[in-house]
Formats: sequence, C-alpha cells, structure tokens
Amino acid sequence: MYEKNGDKYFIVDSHMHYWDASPGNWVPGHENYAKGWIECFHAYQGLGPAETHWPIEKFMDYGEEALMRDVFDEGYVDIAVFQPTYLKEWYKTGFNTTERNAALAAKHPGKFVVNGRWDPREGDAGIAQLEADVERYGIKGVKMYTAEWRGDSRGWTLKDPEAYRFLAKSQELGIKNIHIHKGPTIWPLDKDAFDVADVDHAATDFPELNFIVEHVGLPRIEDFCFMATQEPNVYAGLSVVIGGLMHARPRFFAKVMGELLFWVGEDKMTFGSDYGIWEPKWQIEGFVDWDYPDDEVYSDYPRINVASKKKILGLNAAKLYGIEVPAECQLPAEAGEPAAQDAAVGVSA
Amino acid sequence: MTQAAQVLAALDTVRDPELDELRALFLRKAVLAGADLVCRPLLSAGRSVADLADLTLGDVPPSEELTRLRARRAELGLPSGDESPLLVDAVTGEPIARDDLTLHLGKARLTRVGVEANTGICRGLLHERYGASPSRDTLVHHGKEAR
Repeated sequence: MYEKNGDKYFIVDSHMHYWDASPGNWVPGHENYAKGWIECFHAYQGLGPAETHWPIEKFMDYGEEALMRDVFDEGYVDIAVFQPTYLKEWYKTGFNTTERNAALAAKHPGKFVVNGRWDPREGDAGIAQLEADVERYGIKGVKMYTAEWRGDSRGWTLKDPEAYRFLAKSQELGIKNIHIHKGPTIWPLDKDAFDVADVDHAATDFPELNFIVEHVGLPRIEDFCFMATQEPNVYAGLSVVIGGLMHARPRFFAKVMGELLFWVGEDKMTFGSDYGIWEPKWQIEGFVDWDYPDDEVYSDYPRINVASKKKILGLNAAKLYGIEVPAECQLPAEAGEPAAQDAAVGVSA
Repeated sequence: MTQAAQVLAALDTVRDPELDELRALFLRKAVLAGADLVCRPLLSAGRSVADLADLTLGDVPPSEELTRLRARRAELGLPSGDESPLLVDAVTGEPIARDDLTLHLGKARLTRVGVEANTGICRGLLHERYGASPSRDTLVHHGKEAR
C-alpha cells in the first residue's frame, strides 16, 4: 500500500517479471540473441531515474532478495502479477517461466498472482500443457508473446485458427485475462508481430475474456486507441508507458496519458512496473504526484484525480483478478465502479 | 546528413512492395499528424471546429507545416491544390463530413502524439545504447519541438 496526503492506494503491479538471463542460461549457438535481448532490455532501464539504474550483471539475474525488497518492502506493491516470457530458443531453462515464478510465489503466499502462457504453434501438446498448468497453478491469466520465435517461425497472431482454439480452451478452463505484449520491438524480434489488429478480432469473438494490451501498442498507440474504444473488453496495460516515458519524456508522457484517458478511460487502464526493467517505487511515487504540465496544450484532455489514480494503480487490476481490496483503500460509492464492461465509448474508427 | 536523413535516403533507393506499403502507411500517419499541426493554431486563434469543414488548403496562412502536409498529400495522390478541402480522409481523399470533424481531429491529435512518443522512446534508447544526441527534433516534424 502507498499512502500520500492521507489517501491510501492499494497497489497491484499487474505486469512484472522474475527472469534469469545470466550467461549460464544462454543456449549454445544462440548466445548473440540471448545477450542482445537482455542488453536491449537494459537500455530501457536507462529511461528511468539515474539512481535506479543497475549494472548489467545484476540486471541479467537480480534474484529473489532484490525482487522482494524492490517490489514489496520498498516498492509499495500489495499484489504482483507474474507475467512469463519463455524465449527458450535463446535461454536454456527459459527467460522467465511460469514454473520459476510459481516456485517463488509458493515461498511467499498471498504476494503473487502466477500467470501462464500458451503458444498456438504447440498444438495438442500445448493444450495439454495449458490444462496441466491451470490444474497445478490455478492460473487466471496468461501472457501472450506473439513475436516469440519457434523453429523457423518468427511469430504468430491471435487471428490464427489455432490461436482461437487456445482462446476457447482458456475460456473453458476459467482463464479470464489475456495479456498480450504489443509494444516496442525488441531486437531481434519482427516488428509485424506487435501489430494490434489481431486483438480487435479476438476481443470481438471472445467477449467473456479480457484483453490487456501491455505497453498499449507503442509504437502504434493510435491503432491501439482506435481499437480499444470499440471493444469493451480491451484494457490498456501501462507497463513501459510510466516506466519509459514519465521520467525520460515527461511531455510525451502527459500527452500519451491524456490520449489514453480520453480514448480508453481510467476504468480500463492498469499499472504494471515491468520489474526488473524498472523498480515500482519511483513509478508509483511519481504517478501519484503526477498531473499535466501547466500548458494549454493539455487543456482538452480528461482530468485525473485521486480516484483515477487509485483505479489505475490497483483497483482495476484487482477487479480483473478478483483480488480483495481492504476497505480503507476502496473508493467511496460515488466514484463509480472500476473496470465496468460497458465503459466503451463506442466510436467507430 | 543526419542519421535519420541517411535512413530515409536509403529507404528511397529500395523499391520493395512491402516497403512501399510501409512508406504509404507512414505517409498516411504523417498526413493525419500534419492535419493536427496545421489545425491546432487555427483553433487556438479562435476558429471553431465547424469552421474547418469549409476551409480549403488555400485559405490557410502559409507555414512550413502546411507545405509539408500538401507535399505528403500529393505524394499519396490525395487532393493537395489550393481549392482542396483542408481536411480529407487520408485513405480515400474524401472531405471529412461536418459530423465527423471532432472525431477526425481527435484522431489527428492522437496520431501525432503516437508518432512523437515513439520517436521519443527511440531517441532515448539510442542515447542509452550508443550515446547518440537526444535531439529534440523528430523524424516527422523536422525541427519542430514537441510541446
């Protein structure tokens, strides 16, 4: 929980990681990709305040102690949602797997939500694995990485018939939340895999699932916003938006937030630190203090207040995951229910 | 020649259908973002949104932004003469209907923000990785500092 000026914020970090990118985990013959990937990630950390930068050695494998301190002891987070990223083509045991995440979660009960993943290219074996993961970990959400390499394939889309089979299976198994990475291209992944058009189709055809577009489709935020206004079950995942822009590019950040608040709305925006890229502490402190710069350029954008920030920092994600929020952190009744399904603006693109 | 100019020059020497498509997509986004750059000062100067529906390109005071917008429209085969409507659909070239003006201007602003934010992230990363100067100009709005 974070408290400022007497207001208490329940914090759900809805997008964070526990990875191992140390050289011992690099796949022989693919070391250049494994090294290039983590170095590219590391550059993103440079967009945060200087005092929060880590040396690359720590960044490759920060370990349990640092994570628990940075996220919970010092980072104000109440519940953190582990989002896996496998990348087994480059990392022997995977970059950041459900299994590794679940092992840490088991040591710290009540702190984490463990999400799974699937890849439609895995076919029947993938379906069986998904069933086993739901059975074992009680998964309520999955993270999709459509740009992930597999053999000769350089990615897939949610529009693929095989992906529909997995979406239907997810729904049948009680999974509610589909997080999709749609963000800046990370070398060496293909740029096309991050196009947001496929989310549009899937969100229409699976209205009972929630689609949280992580990184809001940057660098295609306009495509994302046009789409999100039409789909009541599409959410804006703010990882990278706050971490990558709030400190480094405050004016762009203000505009991006203004556009998201206008097109998507405060009921459908969710905070994610993207730890270990960025620590949550400075992001939460900065966002609670944040307002538009005093300039008429920003005057048309929707205003943001304490209730908006409470929703974005935790209440919206708590609702998506059925997390109980302490009474002292809830909104008074008149502030409205967060994350209402009928909140779409209904504007045609 | 700046790095960005070199990249653009290199792109110009390549004639690949996929790249042509990508270039057209960027140009359409630039036309939308450019409409925001040209219209915002008009609105700040007191014009109403409805006024913009009746304006032609020739009605707008000359500016670098207007010249660039016209060049990009011409490159896409969209109307770009003095008598052409100020606001047109970036795909069909049809004038924007009065009822759709507010939405169109909203999309124009959003597209400009998207392009600027993307450029901002790319420049920040270039600086972090290679020490490139975090110049404030952008690929799309040469020399025009984003506010």
